[in-house]
Order: sequence, then C-alpha cells, then structure tokens
Amino acid sequence: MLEDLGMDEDDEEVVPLPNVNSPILKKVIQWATFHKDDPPPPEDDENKEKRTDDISSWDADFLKVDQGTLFELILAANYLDIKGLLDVTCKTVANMIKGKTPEEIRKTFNIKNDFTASEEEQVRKENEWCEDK
Amino acid sequence: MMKGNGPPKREGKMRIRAFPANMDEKYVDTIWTLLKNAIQEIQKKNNSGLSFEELYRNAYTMVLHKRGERLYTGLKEVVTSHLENKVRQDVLQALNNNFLSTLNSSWSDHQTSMVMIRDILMYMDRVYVQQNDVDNVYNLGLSIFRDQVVRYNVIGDCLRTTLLELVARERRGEVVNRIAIRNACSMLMILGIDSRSVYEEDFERPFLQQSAEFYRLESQKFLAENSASVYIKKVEARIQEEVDRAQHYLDQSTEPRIVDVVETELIKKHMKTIVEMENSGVVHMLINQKTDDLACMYKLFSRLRDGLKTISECVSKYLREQGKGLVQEEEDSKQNEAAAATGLPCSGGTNAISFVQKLLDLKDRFDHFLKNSFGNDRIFKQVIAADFEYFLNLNPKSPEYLSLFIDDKLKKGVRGMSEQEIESVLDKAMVMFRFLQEKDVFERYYKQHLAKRLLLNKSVSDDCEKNMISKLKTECGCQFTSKLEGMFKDMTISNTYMEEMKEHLMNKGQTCVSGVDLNVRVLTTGFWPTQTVVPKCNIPTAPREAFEEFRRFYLGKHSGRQLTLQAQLGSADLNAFFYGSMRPSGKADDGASGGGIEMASTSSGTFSVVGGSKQPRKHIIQVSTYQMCVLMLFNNQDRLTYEEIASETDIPERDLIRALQSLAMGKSSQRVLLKHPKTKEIEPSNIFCVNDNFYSKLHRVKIQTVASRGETEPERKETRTKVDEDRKHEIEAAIVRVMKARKRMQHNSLVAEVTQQLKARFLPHPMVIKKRIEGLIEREYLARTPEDRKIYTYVA
Repeated sequence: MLEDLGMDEDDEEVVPLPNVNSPILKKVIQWATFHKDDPPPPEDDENKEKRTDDISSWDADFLKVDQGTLFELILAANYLDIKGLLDVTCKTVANMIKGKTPEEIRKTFNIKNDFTASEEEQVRKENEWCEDK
Repeated sequence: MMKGNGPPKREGKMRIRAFPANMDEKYVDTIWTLLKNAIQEIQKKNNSGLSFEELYRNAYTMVLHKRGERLYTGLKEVVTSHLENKVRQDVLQALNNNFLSTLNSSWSDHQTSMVMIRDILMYMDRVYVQQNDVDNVYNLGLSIFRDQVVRYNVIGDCLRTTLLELVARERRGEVVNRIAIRNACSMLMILGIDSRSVYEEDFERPFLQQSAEFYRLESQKFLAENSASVYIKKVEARIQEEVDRAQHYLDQSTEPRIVDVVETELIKKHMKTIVEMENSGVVHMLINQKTDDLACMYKLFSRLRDGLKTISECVSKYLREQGKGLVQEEEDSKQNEAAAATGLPCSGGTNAISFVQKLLDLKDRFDHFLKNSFGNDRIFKQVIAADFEYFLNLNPKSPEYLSLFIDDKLKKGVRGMSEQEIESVLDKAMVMFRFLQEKDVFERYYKQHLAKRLLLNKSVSDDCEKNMISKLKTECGCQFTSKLEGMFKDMTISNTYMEEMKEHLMNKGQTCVSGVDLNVRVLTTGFWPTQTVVPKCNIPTAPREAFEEFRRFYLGKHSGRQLTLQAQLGSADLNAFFYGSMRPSGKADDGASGGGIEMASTSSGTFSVVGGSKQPRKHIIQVSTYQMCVLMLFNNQDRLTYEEIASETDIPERDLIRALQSLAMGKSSQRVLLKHPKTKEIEPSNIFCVNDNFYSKLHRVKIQTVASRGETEPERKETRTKVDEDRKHEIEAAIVRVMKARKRMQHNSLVAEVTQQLKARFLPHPMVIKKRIEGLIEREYLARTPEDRKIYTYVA
C-alpha cells in the first residue's frame, strides 16, 4: 500500500490509519516482520484449488487468538492489502468451519438462527446431495 | 451462512467495532460526495491538499458495503464529464494552432490524474472490478479518453491529417517536430489497451496507404530519370530513412510494414524494368565490369523473395548468349579452316586452344562477379554452372578441344609459369571437364594426345603429366586413368629394355647393329590407342636388321608375346650430305627405321654426287619413319616418280602424300626434295629428286610433319564411330549389372537406372538403351515376362 501512496523513503511523514487500532496493528507488524524475507507470492491462478492445511506452525501459533482478534486481523489485512496475512487468517477461519454441522457452526461463531422452519427445510433439501449418506 | 454482516458483538478484552448493520443512504451519499470532489480536484491538478489514506478508506468502505456499483458508475460520470466539457473543448480550440502539443499535454495530464484516481480507488479495482468483470479504473479512463477526445470526429480527423502531413513534409526533406509525433503515436498505442488496433486504425493504416501512394509516384519519377545503379542507391536510402523513422518516432512494430510497402512499390513492381534497363541494367553492368553496382543490386534484391531469381535469369541469359556465341563462332570458323588446311603446318590447333582459353576467361569473369558481387550465392553458382554445361555441350568438338588445350599446356605452355600458376590452369581445365557430358570422348582424345606426347617426347614436365592424371583420377575414378598410367609404365619399362639391350650388345662386342643406333619403345596394345589396321611399310635393310636383333633379344626375355612395328609412329635422324653450291642438292643417309620402334642413326652412308663441286654440306635431318623410307630410296636413284615411290615403300597413300608434301613443298629451308612440275597437288606422275642446293643455317634440321592438330572430318567420324561402339558395350554392361542385382524390373525404371549409372561418362539416349535391351534379349541375357511385356527378368 505504501507504494500506492507514492511515498518516498521519507521516514518522517505521518500516515494516519484510523481503520486499524494499535493492538491489531502491532500484531500485523509482528507478522510482517517475521515474514519480511518471504519470496514474493506467485501470480494467483484463479483456477488453482486452495488448500487450508498448509499453514506453517509459526503462523498457527501466531493465530492462536480469540475470534475477535482473528476477525480484526482479517479486516486489517484486507484493508492494508497484505495478501499473505489475509490468506493465512482466512484459512484459519475456514478450518474452524470445516467439518461442522450448521448447528455447530452457529455455536462456534455465535450466530443467530434467523431461518424460519420452512426456509431451513428448503435449504437442507437443496443441499442434500452434499451430505454423506 | 454468513450474511457478511461482520463479526457479532462479543465479550472480551477488545470491543469489536460494530459494523453499521445496514449502511444508510445518507452515509453513502456523504462518502460519495467526498470522493467525487477529490477526483475533481485531482483532475484540476489540485491534489496536494488531499489525504490519500482518507480517500482510500472511504472507497474501501463503500465497496465493502456493497456500494461498489455506485462508486464505479459515479467514477465513470465524473471522468466523462470532465473530458467532455473541459479537455475536449481545450483541444477543439487548438485545432488550428498547437494542435498536437495541446493534445499531447491533455493526454499526459489525463494519464497522471488517472493514475492518482486509480490509486485511491485501488480497493475497488481489486475487489469490485474483479468480481464484476468490468474495466479497471485506469483502462476505463483510457477508453473514455479515446472515445470522447481522440476519436471525437473533428479531433480524430485533425489528428490523422496533422500526423500524415508532418511525415509527408519530412519525406520532402523538411525538418519536423519528431517528438510530437512520437508522443501521439505512443498515445495511440496505449489507447488500444491490450491491442494495437487504435494505433492501427487511426494512424498506421492511412499512413501505409499514403506511403504507398507516395512511393508509387516516386518510383515512376526515379525510374524515368535515373540509371539502374543510381536508382538502386536511392531506393536503399529511402529504405534506411523509413527504418529510421519507424525506430525514432513511430511505433517499432510499424517498421517491417513500412519497409514492406517501400520494397513493394520501389522494387517489386519494377524488378524486371530495373534489371533490364537499357544502358544501365544488369547486362550493361556485366559488360562494363561494374562489380560494385551489381553488389548493390544483389543486396537490394535479396530482400525480396523472387528478386534474386530475376537477376539470375538475366545473368543466365546473357551468359548463355556469350557462351553460345563463342562456341558457335568456333564452329563456323573451323569449317573454313578445314577447307583451307590441306597440308603444311596447320594452325588448326590454335583454334582449339583459343576456344578453351576464351571459355576459361569467360568463366573467370563470371567467377569474379560471383565472388565480389553475388557473395558466392548458391543460386548464382548453380545458374552459372548450368549455363556452362549447356553451351559447352552444344559444340560436339568440345571434348576434343579441351584435350587439345591440356595437350598444349603440357607440351610447352607451362614453360615459364610458376607451380601455382600451372596448378591453377590445370584446375580450371578440370572445372571445364566437369561440365562435359561426353567424358568418354574426352578420354579417347586424351589418350591419343598423351600417346603422341610420350612418343615424341614432347611433354615438358613429367610431374605435370602425373599431376593431371591424378586430377582425372579424383574426378572419374581409377577406371578412367588406369590405361593412362599403363602408358607411363610402358615408357619406363622400355627405357629399362634399352639399357639391357645395350649391355647385351656390349657383351657381344658391338656398339650397334648394322650401324644403326636403335631406340625401341614397347607399347602394350591394350593401353595405347591403336589403329584398326596396321599399315605396312617397307623398311630399308639396315634399320630392319637392327630391329630383328632387338626382336630376338626381347622374345628371348618374354616368350609368348608378339611384337609389331608401328610404322606411323616412329622418327629417324639421318645424316645428309649435300653436294650443291648455293643451290644445294642433297643426299640422305641411312638412318633409323621406325615403326613402334625409334632408332637414331650415327653411321653415315653416301649418296651420289650431282652438280657443283664445293665441299659437301652435312646436315642432320630429323624425319618421320615414312619420310626416312622415301629418302633412303634416293640413295640408289636420282629421280623417282610418285608411283615408283609408292610401290617401293608400300606406304598408304594419305601418309605418303603428307610425307612428300613436307619434304618437297615446304619452306626453302625445309625443302630436301624437289618436285617436277611445281604444282600445288601431288600427282602420280610427278617426279621427285634430291635438292642439292638445299640450304639451312641450322646444322640439325627438323622437317615439320604435316600434322594437323585437330582431326580432319573423316578422322573425326572415325573416332565418333569408335566411341559409339564402346558406348554400346558400356550400356549393355550396365544393363546386365542392374538386372543381375534386381532380377526383375520394369522398362522405364531400368532405363532410368542405367542412365543414372552412366551419366558420369556420357548421356545415353533412351532409344539406344532400348535397342541394347532387345539385343540382350536375343542373346538370352534377359527375358520378357509373359504377363507383361514391359517387365524384364534376368536370365542367369
């Protein structure tokens, strides 16, 4: 993002970031510092299948935080356009969803069920083919 | 399923910022207004007071809350209205002055502001644009600029005309603002977004069209005013100019296209005209040795696919003309020569030599062009070779003449030349040899000439002879040269015999037999060219006895062999005493006899004295064997008629006439005999007597034999017949060879195969081959298959 700003190597310019609060920013900087020598990621192939089981152990540890932080990290990574961090955080959340029934997911994320009974039935029917019998 | 409302409120250390559940329209409006103003400020170049982060964040928020479409459409409107209302007006006002620079500066301003706008709207680019498959911000800006400004009717036309006008002016020699054009061209390229179509349609196509027109007119003007070489230089200059132009201020991809246009208009359409231009085209250049001009033309024409073909055709035509002219003028003049040459040292030979020399000179000339103008191009090499082959074989005497040429060189021509020069002359002769189709005819003549050289001791250098033979061997294989090598061996062996003979005689206490110093050369029949009928000749006693002695000696060494005297090949040295005064008469002595055996005499015989009583003058005369027989008759008689001479010596008429001609009708320093009456022809009743008044300043006189270098017509026919005979055998041998290997073959394939095998020696005619096949069928070497008459089988 910095390069979009068209900034020089001028260290004294203050960059306001109202969208990101300081603890989250600290975490972001921590992640970025650890990954500062990473090779640039390859061109993203839209069609390539993405895996969720390739999170490095350091990242996994780093992301052992409460959900709130996790989601804030996602937002920050999105806003700051940090692809690596965005990927790893989203993968983590995806892993939290995988393998759970809808009810379990609701419990994990504290989501209110706002379907009527008939709506829920309809949706279940549509997705019957996914279920393992 | 998440509805994208963001994370719910949670108890915890941090309070998660609440998402506005549904962003209300008012908030969205506010954000949009903020952004819109910012964009407009950027377009007015007032961006310094703006906060990047704030704008970015607002755009981010809008897109995040699913208002991307509104943002996108809004952007489109703002940009369009700015370009329509402000930028376009500016450009329109400048249509008549500073058009290009105004357009250029508007363009670069637009680019700059779009970059900044893209930056603040980057989140939208990343997310909304991707998801909805629309143009990204920058490209959107480009297409609006293209449609609303550049292609707005008046502006588009003006742009095109201005650019074309500038190019036209530069072509006329004026200096123009290249940078302006370059900026315009690169703008057009960029406006094509991912293709060059805008550049192509708006500029390149009309440019190429105008260029074609321009060069079409120019070509006509140039051609009318200039010679070929000047035209070519001008064309090259123009091509270079266009290449420059394309590299400096058009788009580079235009280069091959414009060069193609120039080549087509200036060269391709006029290839023949240029090549055939009177007084300056290819022919003129060839005649006047304009090597550099030809090189320029070659370089230029090699750009086009058929260019070189056109030049090579013209060169070929000229070369064939020249070659044919040389070859045919030879034929005509030779007819006249033959008519005039009835005897006496004939210069018919010089015709052959000059014929070949002229051909070699022609080849040298064209090789020079090949190397220096045509860069050893393969096409030209092939063309020249084909042409030489063509006209060399037009004259049936070419093989004979080539052999004569080499003969001359090996006899005396190489005197005074360095080894390298000799080598190069012989090599060039070999090049000509390769062009010959009738190599077997050449072989026959070469053998004849070589025989004469060896027997008459005429070759200047043995090394050169051997050199030549090895060249022929490399070219044609051993079969060609084995006989020639045999001839050399015979000469060496004969020398050995003579040594042994001398020893043998010494042991007997003799120095020579019958007073004759004999020198014999034994020729193996198969190697040397033979006459079909060995002419007889009555040899005088002394030489004959000497020969018999040798024969006894030889047969003592090798039984089961036969020796035959070859009377037409020998020579003799005679001691002659002339007893006349100022008009000397002469007498001839015993001398050697000839006939396959050469003998030299040292003894002296006497002769009757006639006329004056001065001191007898002594000369040694070198004559042929026949002449010796004739002269020795005058030892016993003063005068003889032709008929008497003929019956005494038994020499064949043609040879006898020749011998008498050189003895009696040559120059006065050669006239050993006198003839009555002094007519031009020799009649049977003519009387011959010794010329006592014979005078020559040389002690040793060589009587020139009337040996016409070239063959006379009847001789030529004879040689030709022999060649044809040989060819029949070779064809049959080839047919049998092929059939033995294949066992079964169709007629056409057989003919083709046989032709292929023989073509290194001569080109057989299919009809002749057919006749030979039929002959072989009769003699039961081949058979026709019963099912198909066109298929033959081999009969073992």
